[in-house]
Amino acid sequence: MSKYHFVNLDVTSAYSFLYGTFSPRALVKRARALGQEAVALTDIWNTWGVARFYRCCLKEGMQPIVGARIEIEGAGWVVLLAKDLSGYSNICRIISAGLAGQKNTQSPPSPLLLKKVEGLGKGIVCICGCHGSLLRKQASKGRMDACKRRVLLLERIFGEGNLYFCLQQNVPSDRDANLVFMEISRKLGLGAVALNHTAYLERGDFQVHKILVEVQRRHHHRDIRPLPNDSFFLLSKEQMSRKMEVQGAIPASGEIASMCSGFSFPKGRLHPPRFRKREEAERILARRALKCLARKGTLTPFSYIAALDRELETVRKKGLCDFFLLVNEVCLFARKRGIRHSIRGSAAGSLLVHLLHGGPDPIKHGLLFERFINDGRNDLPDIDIDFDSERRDEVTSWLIKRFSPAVATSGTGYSGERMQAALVSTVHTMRVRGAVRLAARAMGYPLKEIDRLSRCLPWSLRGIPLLEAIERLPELKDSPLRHEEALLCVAASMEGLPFQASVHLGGVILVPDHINNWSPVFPSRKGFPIAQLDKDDVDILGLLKLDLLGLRMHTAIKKAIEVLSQEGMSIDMDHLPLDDKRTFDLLCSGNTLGVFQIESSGQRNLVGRLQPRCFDDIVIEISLFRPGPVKSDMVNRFIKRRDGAEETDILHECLSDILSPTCGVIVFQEQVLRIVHRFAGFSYSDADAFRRAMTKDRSKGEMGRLKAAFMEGAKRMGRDRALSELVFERIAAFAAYGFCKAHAVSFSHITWQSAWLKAHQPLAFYIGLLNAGHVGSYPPFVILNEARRAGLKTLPPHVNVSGWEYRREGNGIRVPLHVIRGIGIEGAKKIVSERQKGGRFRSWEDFFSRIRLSRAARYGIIFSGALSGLPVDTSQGLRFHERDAA
Amino acid sequence: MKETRLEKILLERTFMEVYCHFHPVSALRRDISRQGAVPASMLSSLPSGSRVVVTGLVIFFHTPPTRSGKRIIFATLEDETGLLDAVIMPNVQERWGKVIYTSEILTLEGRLLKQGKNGKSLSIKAIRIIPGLSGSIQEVSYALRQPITENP
Repeated sequence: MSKYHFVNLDVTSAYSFLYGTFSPRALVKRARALGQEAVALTDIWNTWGVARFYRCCLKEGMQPIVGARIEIEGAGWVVLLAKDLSGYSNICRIISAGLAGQKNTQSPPSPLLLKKVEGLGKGIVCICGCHGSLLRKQASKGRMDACKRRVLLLERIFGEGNLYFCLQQNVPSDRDANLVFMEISRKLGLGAVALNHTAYLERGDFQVHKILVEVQRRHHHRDIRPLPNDSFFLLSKEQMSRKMEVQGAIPASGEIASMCSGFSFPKGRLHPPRFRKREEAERILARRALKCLARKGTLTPFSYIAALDRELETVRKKGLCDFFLLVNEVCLFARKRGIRHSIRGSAAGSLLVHLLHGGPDPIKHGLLFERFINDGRNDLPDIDIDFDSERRDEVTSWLIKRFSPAVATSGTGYSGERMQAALVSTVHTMRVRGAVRLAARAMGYPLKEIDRLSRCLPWSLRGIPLLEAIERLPELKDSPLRHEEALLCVAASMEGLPFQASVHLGGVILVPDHINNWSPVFPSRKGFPIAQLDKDDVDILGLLKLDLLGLRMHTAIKKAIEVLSQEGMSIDMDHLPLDDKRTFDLLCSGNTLGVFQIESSGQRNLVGRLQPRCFDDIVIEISLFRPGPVKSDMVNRFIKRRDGAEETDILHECLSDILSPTCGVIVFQEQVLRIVHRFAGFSYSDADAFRRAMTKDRSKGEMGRLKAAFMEGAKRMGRDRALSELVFERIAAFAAYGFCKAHAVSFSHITWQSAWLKAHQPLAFYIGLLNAGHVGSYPPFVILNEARRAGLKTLPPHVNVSGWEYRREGNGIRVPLHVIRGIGIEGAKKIVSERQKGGRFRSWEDFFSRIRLSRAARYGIIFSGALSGLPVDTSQGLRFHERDAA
Repeated sequence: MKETRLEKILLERTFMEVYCHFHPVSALRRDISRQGAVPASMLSSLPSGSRVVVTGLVIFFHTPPTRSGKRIIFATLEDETGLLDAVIMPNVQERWGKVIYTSEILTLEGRLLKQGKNGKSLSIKAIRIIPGLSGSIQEVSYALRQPITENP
């Protein structure tokens, strides 16, 4: 006998995009409020919500039952529930098989062939005959034999005792279907369970479900209907008892829940795939690091050797040699291919990382390895790498193929073969403006009216609920939206719901076994496998994620170098002098539009006030410009002290070398670690734990505990009590705002490179920026305006001269054809290619006879002046427009 | 017939994503100067605390979270001589919220606030939005030229 009386086993959350209306968290809370101790999550063809559902259930002390709703050919919709981890893995394989052949990843897949499910039934409970399924249709028409044949096939796959009929009571025809199902189950000895398919948590949310489905119909043109009535909500035991008359069907749900109690994800953080023995990896890593160190110069200072030895020892102890070698392989691949890349984050503070993967020299910049890895941290360290965004895919592709060779051979061979890597995905949630527009469209508002209603409505309200924003925001004071109550209510319910998934900007997960043990995968447009896990899910499951990020500034610098190399100039951007006067003059002028990290209005203002005089000033500038330091007046204090308007307070002489570079202001997290280490005698790992605790939990209790530990350590070091209190207060005030210096140094190098280019080669700099896509905050027209102000000519597009990218022309920039509205990159490429093949265009007629364009594009070409100077036969031109009008 | 500067700008605005010949504000300069607007490049030579009127093309607004929870708009505008950074306080938003968010060109009157040595590090605490000089390029140019054509 099961400990559960009734459990909701067929529940589709908002991760069944544009169908379900609630988050997994809301589901768990609601089930708990109904007094239930277990609940299932069975989204349609996906497991997007599983990781967070699992975490919420554990937090609430409930049993998570995970599964999915899929459609099998000949049987229709079935609910699959994982009895254990092998069952979950099989469900992931089944979903992957269903999604593998899909052309459009956003559309629901076609029913899966029964033969594709064969061999994947182990560890799964299958509930068949759900609403909308073929089995139910046949049952309601009394076709018992046809039903039986299909059910036997399913039983063969999922095994004896694992197949149940779904008994529902939502529409009148359900009664007949239930009778047929009961009859067959008695004859074949199968189970039958009471279900209430759930798409909304409470009856009143039915309207939201209807609108969401309507969005699918109108916006995505899908053939789908909403649920027939408002009875598909989460039921309590009593509500189900009143609804379901069939004896034993309700307790069967509890039995199934008990069968699924063996499911749980492995605990703890997992390691990446190993490809060598531990000793071998240690040997190779040490050898490579020493080789790189030897290459640095003829005489290696002792500090480098000591630091490397210490780092290697820590890495060895933590068993991370393989991981470092893997990152090294990635960087070597990029280097061989000439792909610009850089390390970001705390990893830049490691000498080992510097030697193997490049980046700033941590000894020269006074960075701290312990901020990156220390004995006290059990989690895997993150090494984030920025690549030239145009070529990042080359690296991703190489990494995916290295760990998932099946992708390389078949493209869709996602099950069976070795597969340890996949891309991380991102689930987009509906923002307020989108929610209002989509809801209005689904409710039948005309497009013009939708424009009028959503005018002035921001894309995002930064956490202010829509109904409150309507009252609060002055620009919405006279908004016509205020009078649309029904629309507002629905849009407010839709806001924040997930509605589509795409690929994460650079995350690749690496698993020790097979990716399908963790998640289903589906193919991206480029053929890469994408896991149904977002970055938070990866953290919840403890998987390793490598962030191969795309940085457009790398692309801009590369493109600028290309412009210079066309003129025979060659510049080594990685070894620019860090004391160049012209670059500092540019920074001090505040004229830094387009310069990496310091181009926003606030940054331009700050850099103009700060007047950087050395490279470290740039590092400080980047670190200071964040909400915390700005709000807490750290910026003004630093500038006043540096300019001698305020006295620098170092607190104690032992802190002099730590605090004097920043005039006594704690700017960097590394400074916190060093102060705590030196003043209170903490080890670096304890100091890092102290810093993290202070950053995350600043409750009175926690701060009191930290203070006691600090005072105790300071006492042991023989420090004066009053001074110790002062030092603690100073740390407590600034620690939460401290910035990782390693990250700031790493970024400052890119800032320097871009500023140097702007100061010395403005033409190449602007062309680089314009050709790199959307770099930074400014649209291309602002960059072009700025180039014109810098004295460069900005030449309009012309069909006989322009390319599909911005290019140099004398002392000017020739604007490409794609800036003409309606042309786009592809249109521009078409025109350029035709010109290269057939020669320059001789007249309007010649152009329009050789290039077929849309009407908008033709107008764009004519009125932008791209045909200027070419002869035109007016009557021909008129005829051409008359034809359009007709 | 040769196009005027304003006609050229309007054509570029309609058919292209960039301005190749002139900055849109440059075509309005003579008229907005009459209304007291100064170009961005002139701000560096004015003393901190001066009352100024500026007109610029809206580039973007930034509304970072603030400790008080009040919304402060950091607006970046641009005229033909450079960028203009303005801080728009809640009381101004209260009155001109709709104009701020629906204008292509904004004319702000405010007090110049200079910080540090460099002339570029300045911000304007907007205290007034001038409605006739804010709106789409067409609206502003129409508003400016209307009285001139009617009463030359």
